[in-house]
Amino acid sequence: MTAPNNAQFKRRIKNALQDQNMRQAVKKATAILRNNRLKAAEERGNWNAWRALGKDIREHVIANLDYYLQEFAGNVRRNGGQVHFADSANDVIQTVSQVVTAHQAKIMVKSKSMVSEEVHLNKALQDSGVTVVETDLAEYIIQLADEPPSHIIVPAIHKNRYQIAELFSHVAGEVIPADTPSLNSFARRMLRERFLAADVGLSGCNFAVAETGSIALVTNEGNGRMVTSLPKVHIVLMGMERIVPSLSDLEVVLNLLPRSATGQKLTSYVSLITGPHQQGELDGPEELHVIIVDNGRTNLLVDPEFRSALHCIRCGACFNVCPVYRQIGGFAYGSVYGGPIGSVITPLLNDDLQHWGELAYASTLCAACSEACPVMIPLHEHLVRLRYRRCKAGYTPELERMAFRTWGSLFSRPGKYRWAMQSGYFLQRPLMHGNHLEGGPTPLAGWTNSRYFPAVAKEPFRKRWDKLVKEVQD
Amino acid sequence: MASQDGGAEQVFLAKLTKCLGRPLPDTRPTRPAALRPELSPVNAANSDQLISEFTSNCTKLTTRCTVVPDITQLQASISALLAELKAKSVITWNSAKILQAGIPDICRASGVNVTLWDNLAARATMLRRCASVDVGITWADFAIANTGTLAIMSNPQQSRVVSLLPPVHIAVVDQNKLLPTLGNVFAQLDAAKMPAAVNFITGPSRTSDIEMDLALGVHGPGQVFVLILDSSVTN
Repeated sequence: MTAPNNAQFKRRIKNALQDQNMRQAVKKATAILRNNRLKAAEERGNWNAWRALGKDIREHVIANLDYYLQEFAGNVRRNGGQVHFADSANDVIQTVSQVVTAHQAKIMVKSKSMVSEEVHLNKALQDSGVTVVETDLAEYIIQLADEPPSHIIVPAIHKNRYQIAELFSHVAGEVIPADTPSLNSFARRMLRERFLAADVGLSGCNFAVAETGSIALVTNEGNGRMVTSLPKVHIVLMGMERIVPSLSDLEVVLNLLPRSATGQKLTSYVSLITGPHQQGELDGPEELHVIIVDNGRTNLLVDPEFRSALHCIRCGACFNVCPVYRQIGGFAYGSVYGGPIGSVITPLLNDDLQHWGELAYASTLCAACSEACPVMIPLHEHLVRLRYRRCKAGYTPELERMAFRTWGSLFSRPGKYRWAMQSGYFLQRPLMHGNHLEGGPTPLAGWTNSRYFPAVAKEPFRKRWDKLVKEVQD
Repeated sequence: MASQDGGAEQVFLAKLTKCLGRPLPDTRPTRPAALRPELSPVNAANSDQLISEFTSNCTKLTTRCTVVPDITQLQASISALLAELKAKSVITWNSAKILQAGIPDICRASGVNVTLWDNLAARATMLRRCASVDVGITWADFAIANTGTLAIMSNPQQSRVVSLLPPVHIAVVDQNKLLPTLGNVFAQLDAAKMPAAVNFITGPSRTSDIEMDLALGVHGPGQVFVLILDSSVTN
């Protein structure tokens, strides 16, 4: 992953804020998703008790991840599947390539896999001559646009129907009208043929059940079922933290995931895949490969302060409530994972606070994300902790550090403090507009140009306090 | 380097054990008995209540449910549905229940071309055939009242794609297989002997990927019909 620097982060935000189409689309979609979630949670009842249960399950799994992965891998093999372990992005690409080559596969159909985005699998496979087709409608749209996903649940959240019609028309070689039925039926026609012709299907994994060796796939369109029923080979890319111990745990997380993601009680399809097809079955894969992926996840596992970020079930609820995401959309983050959870895990997965640490500031620390999280990850606390670590590691700008050193020195003695406030009162005069400040030199203007910055009072509170106390006592 | 040999697994797991800072547990870790939140109040013994909950959930999903008291009514309902849909071709399972209920015969009698899923046929031919018909007819193993869901387990007769590729899916389910929740179906599964695929189907294939505008049938069936059979054929 190329590490973007500070200037690029600011540039991406600026670009995002100027993209009115994207901002409109994201605002509309996140509002719908957020309201649907709230309704679904209310319909379920005892929502916080369900969340607490989800948290307990995820905490228990992560605390015993080695045991449950071993159990899971054993059960996948017992059912005739093959298990691979991949430490890095490169390992994933090599393992997938080996399977693809062994079957001389020309076409791969994919249902949504965030791990494949993480490791940039499509590009690697396409470079080696394999046709890779994303089959989730949104993923298909952004593949045609050659863009990364901008939301983990609705990856094409930033596109409007006219932009989509243009992309489809380009592929069709004729004008595809921009109404929803026409766009969908075009996608159905195009992708149906791909499903039937594909040699290999690749899917992600929403949950993996240790006790059975099963993969649970949660989809609405049915592309997940196509990918796991039609091609002769099925490859599963699974982040190593996707485990739940038993089917009874699966029930709980399946109550949480669709409700939190889209506000559905259950998605149209939930497929529980256990091994390749059994003897005598004609459809379903003849070969099943499960690739268990680390790719930086151990950086979170080893760190008790951030371990709970591995509890995430990838519902996207934190995106939809985040006042920052709702303004800047997914691309501004520059990472595969955007939103609050992306800001937390990206620097950790990449083990790079220097280049990714600034994502921790893409937050108002309002804690809406933590409140929305179905497994109670304290996301805003993680964001504060990341800021602290970044600061400790010395990655904050020199000017900022100088300002805080000065502030620290001035505020540590009452005399210096009084002098500073008094000087402040006089120094601020050129910028004063009524009771607040406007403009100013660069770092200050970043605040004063867009937000209300109250002016230093002529008479400080300390002086008024003496009078106030007297008034109260009298 | 990723590989399938036990060595890679050992190294991978040892790395996790080290991260967790304690030895690998040699028995399945235990947990304090978790209290499951109350599920919606459904009296499992009251089948009328289950049917009404199932039907009301299905209706919200656009799935049309009909309760049929016997095989004769089941056949009549299928016949009427095929006529309503103006179906010219159907595919159905070559399974005991489907055959005993005379479903292929009733389809033929309705003037519809019938394909029976043949697990011994050529794979590609059978899949393409399935993708070209108007309607797929299955017999679900379970149904879930709380969510309006069908559960279908794969086996040599019970093809996964009959409920997936045709634009319309008609499913029969025995009334005594209608259970309150997803967890109730999980409880029917044997963890040591799972089917290769258990598909939970809740309404038609849907997407809201274009401007959050709901569209049905983007990949799977756009229409789903459920016939709840009062007395099971095998009873």
